[in-house]
Amino acid sequence: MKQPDYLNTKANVILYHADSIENKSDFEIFGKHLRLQGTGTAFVYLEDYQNTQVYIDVLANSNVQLYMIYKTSKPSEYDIRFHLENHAVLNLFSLTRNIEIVNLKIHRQFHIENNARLNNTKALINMGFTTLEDEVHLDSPNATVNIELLNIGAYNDKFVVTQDIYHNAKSTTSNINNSLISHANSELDYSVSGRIAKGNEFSVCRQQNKGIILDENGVIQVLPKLYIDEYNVEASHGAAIGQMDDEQMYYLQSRGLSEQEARSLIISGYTKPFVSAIEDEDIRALVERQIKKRINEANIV
Amino acid sequence: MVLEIKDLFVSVEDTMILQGVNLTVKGGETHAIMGPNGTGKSTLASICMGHPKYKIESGDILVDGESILDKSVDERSRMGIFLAMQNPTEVPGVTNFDFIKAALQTRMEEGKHLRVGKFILEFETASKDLAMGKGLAHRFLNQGFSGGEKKRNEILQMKLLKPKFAFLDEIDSGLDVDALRIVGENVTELKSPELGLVLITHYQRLLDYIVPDFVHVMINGKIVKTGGLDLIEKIDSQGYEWVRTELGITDFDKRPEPVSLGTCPTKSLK
Repeated sequence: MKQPDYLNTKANVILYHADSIENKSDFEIFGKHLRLQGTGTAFVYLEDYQNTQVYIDVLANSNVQLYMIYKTSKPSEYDIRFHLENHAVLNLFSLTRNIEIVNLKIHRQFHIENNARLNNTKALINMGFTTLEDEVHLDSPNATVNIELLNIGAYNDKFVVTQDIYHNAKSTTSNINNSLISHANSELDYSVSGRIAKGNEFSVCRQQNKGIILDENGVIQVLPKLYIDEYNVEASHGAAIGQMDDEQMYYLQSRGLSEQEARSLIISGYTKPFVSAIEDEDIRALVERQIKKRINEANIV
Repeated sequence: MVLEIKDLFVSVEDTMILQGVNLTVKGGETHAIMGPNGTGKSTLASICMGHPKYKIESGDILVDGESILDKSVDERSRMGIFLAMQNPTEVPGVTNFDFIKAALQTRMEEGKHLRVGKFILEFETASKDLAMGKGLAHRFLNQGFSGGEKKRNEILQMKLLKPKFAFLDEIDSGLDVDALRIVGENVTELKSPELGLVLITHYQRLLDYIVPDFVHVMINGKIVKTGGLDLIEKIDSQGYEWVRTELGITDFDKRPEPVSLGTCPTKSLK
């Protein structure tokens, strides 16, 4: 299969296409399991992969940067299972791209062990109807997950996103930061839950959701939920959803920016911190292009 | 270079705030407007900047003889009007650097681009002058800034944007003694025939650092008295009571009548 140009110079590429897997990396694949061991960077590219289940194991003491790109031209459903062993670190960046308006469903389950950390960054800037279900189990003490998500909806896009965090052990930490932009008739529907069971003291569960609705027909709905059954924990949640802030617009315009420039700058305030955190230059450029294209196509600014 | 405010009447939500303000500011002049709370000082600055909340009932604002009432907020800014705000707005995700760069770029002729290297040097110098510390360029606009930092950031923007007429709205509030000195020195350095300054303040202490040419007292939406530095001293020692007595102002402490906000939603059981 042909891999996209932006991956041509990459050292570790794994291609999932139709019903086949092509491993051009130093990492091993056993059956359905991709085993990430040691230190390094890998690029997983999934294009209309039919065997929807994928297993990714990050072995103990490993530290891996993994870029996952989902490209879809027909209705697709993926089920990805991650397992982070003790002291493993996985910096995961995921990008969904589709060339047609199709239904895409991604279910991801993460199990994180003792002292392991998942930094989970996700760009949802594709067309169509997308369902994302993230289920994170912090199974052992000092397991951590940090989630940064950027979602831009335009036209009649619909996104249904569920984020469930299970604090299954003491001293576990979760941080969720969702940045949402809705334009035209797009609907962004979020259910964000944190669960700390009794006995799992010293755990920290934080959720932050901010959303901007650019058009009167746009919808952003966020249901932040905390299910806490232990006193000695730290938990917070919040959702700030609204239209373009008049005072911010006035402030920027009072320095000479036109209405369009001010809107563009405020929107960049949502996207830029996210984009600038992407380490790989080619992937960062790809995301920048996709955001720009999406915003320009939708005439957001 | 002259800014003229002529017989200006301004209302907000059917309440008249400014009731016939007249003021002329020429390049090189520094004007101080003082007055009790709620007399319309900040409204005057905001209306000159074009804040959409306020409605001009009558009168005019002119820059070099041309009315600016039909100009939008950004057009006024690009014409050279600047307002250092009392409560600068926070804009998360937008860095100071990107913001000021965009503000400078939008002032340039079409097709011309800002020389970024030169801008970085100017930004760093201004940041150092105002003791803003390293890393200001990459901090999000006013987010997480202390009150003093926000005020100094306003002056930093003023230094870089080089306006023709600048309103500094209570720029001294929230500043400690050292920060006040820094702001005062930086504003004084900017004084030139190319800048008309309007300081809005309650206290003499700002005017120790930025010495005005004219001092105006505003009461009940009107400039009722104009003088020199002696006026500041008198206000500082005696307040505004004597102004009222001298000019026979009887509704000095007039406050808006209480307004009903309506009733809470109720549910009736039949």
